[in-house]
Amino acid sequence: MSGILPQLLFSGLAIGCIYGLVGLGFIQVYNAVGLTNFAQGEFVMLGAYLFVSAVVIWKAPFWVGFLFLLVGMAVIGFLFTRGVYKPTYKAGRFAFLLASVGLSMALQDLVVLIWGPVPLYMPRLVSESSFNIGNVFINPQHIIIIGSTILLLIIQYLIFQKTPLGKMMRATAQDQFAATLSGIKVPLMIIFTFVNSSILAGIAGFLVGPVFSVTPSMGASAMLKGFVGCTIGGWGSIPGAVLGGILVGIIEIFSSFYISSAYKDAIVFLVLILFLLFKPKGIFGETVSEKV
Amino acid sequence: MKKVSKIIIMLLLAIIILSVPHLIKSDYTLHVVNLAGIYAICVMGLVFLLGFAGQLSLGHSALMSIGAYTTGLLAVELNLPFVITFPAAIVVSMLFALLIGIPTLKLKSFYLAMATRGLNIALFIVLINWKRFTHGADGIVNIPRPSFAGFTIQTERAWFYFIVAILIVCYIASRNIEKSRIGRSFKAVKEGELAAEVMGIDVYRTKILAFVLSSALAGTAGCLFAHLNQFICPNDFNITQSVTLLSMSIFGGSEYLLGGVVGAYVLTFLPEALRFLQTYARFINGILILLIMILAPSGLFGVVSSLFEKLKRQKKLDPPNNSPNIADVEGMEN
Repeated sequence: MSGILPQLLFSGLAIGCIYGLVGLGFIQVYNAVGLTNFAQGEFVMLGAYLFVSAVVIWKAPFWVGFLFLLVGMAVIGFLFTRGVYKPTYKAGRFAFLLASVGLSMALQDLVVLIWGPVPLYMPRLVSESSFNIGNVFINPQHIIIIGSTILLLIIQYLIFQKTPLGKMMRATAQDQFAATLSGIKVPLMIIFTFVNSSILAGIAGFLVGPVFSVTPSMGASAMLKGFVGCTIGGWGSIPGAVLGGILVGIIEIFSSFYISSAYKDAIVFLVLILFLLFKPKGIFGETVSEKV
Repeated sequence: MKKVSKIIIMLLLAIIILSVPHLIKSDYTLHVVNLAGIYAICVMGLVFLLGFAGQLSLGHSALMSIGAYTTGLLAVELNLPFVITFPAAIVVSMLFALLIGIPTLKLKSFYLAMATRGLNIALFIVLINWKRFTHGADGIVNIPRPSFAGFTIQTERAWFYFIVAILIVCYIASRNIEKSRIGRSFKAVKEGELAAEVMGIDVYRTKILAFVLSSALAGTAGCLFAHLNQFICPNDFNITQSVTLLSMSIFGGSEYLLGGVVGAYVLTFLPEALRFLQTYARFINGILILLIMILAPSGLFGVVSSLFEKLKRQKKLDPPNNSPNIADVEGMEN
């Protein structure tokens, strides 16, 4: 039994990284425009499908497939800003939210129409056989997930803290009006934010694809868990979103081992309700500036 | 004069409603009409929540399922009559709304949206997996028809009158609430929570009340659904169903009770008419929501009423348009 604990922690960490990436995309959009994008989960799924269709269907090499994913997600993010965000953000409080709900449902079906309802198999970078470190069985894909997440977080940190573009995006997130006064092209920065968050979601899909199969509904539950992660971390906090996501992953793995794997999504929901009841600001919520 | 025309309209409406089941010959079509009526009851609840109080629920079919399963289990397992299971279904779905509303409605509006979606997912899992209690994916079969004092509502035609009667009662009650102090406080909260708070409205309580009332209507709809179909399973109440209910409410116009009713009937019949497109049903539904939100977020009734207002304004503007000419003439005379 002693070997099982680190085993569960490790798997939970890997799955949690995916939710963290989804949550990160959520938070960036939320900080920039104060809205939640309910199609974020479907962006995860689209990323996986783009990669699979490039590598498996068109037999492109791995790196071409990945490039295709990046470009495709950037285009999707751009189209989403122009086609959904721009026409709806002024039309009342729920117009954008409802439009993204509609889009997410349409995308789930569109994927079925294009790629068919059968789950697709995503090729792996590494061998499928797991190896042991001490008592712990390690799935190589989990190492890839954790490694890529760390790498992505470093890249995100560098972009947002060191580059002029990142600084302009942060300025837009803090105060759009003041950013406009400083000569920042706010609409462009909003496009960049959406593009960035949809690329993050796409990469999350690419990473999680080999663990679960690639299905039209793979994004829906990832989105709910990314949201729960953001709530646990505290809305507005970027480290909070990532750590919250990881926590959700660990909770999920533990509850499916100790309680029941069938009920794991219901347990995650229970965690959400408990957090909202007792700690609605989340773990890192105190430092967050309130957006009115 | 106005009263007379109102009475005439009411009479005409009553004649149309009463003749519907005689005009529709096939039982199947009448069944779809009845289903649409049930959805209309639930959608009125959504109008309450979204259009009046400005709160979004993405999981109203979950609340419907609570009504349906409460009445189904009570009727099948305990053989309780409809007179008892019907109020029980409403009360239990109101309790669930309290359970979700208390932690989430203090917070920003998207929390309720996500929590209701979460409830939808979680409840679906529980309904499927807790086989001993909910019968799992097989669902509950042989739910009895409701009967009052020896008279059982059996045929689709009888169901039509029954559902329309409940729909009208729900509509009148909702309409009265809309016009009352409670309804005005809902709308004040929607316009601006801070301003509402300043005017002495308890925003948190008002939002909870809106959600609970909305859930009561969803529970009513769920209960009727169970007894009409005599069979319920978890798949009747999935996320897609919740989104469909939402699109019904925004299609008609989420701020108008009647808009919700019209939306429910139109969007229940649209898939029947477009059956050759059935594989694309969810796709079309999603795109429909997207397009409504982009092109006409106030829905059908919103567009029509703003058109009427424009016409009215033009009529009022016409005389002033003429007056400058008169002034010119007068000026010339001077």
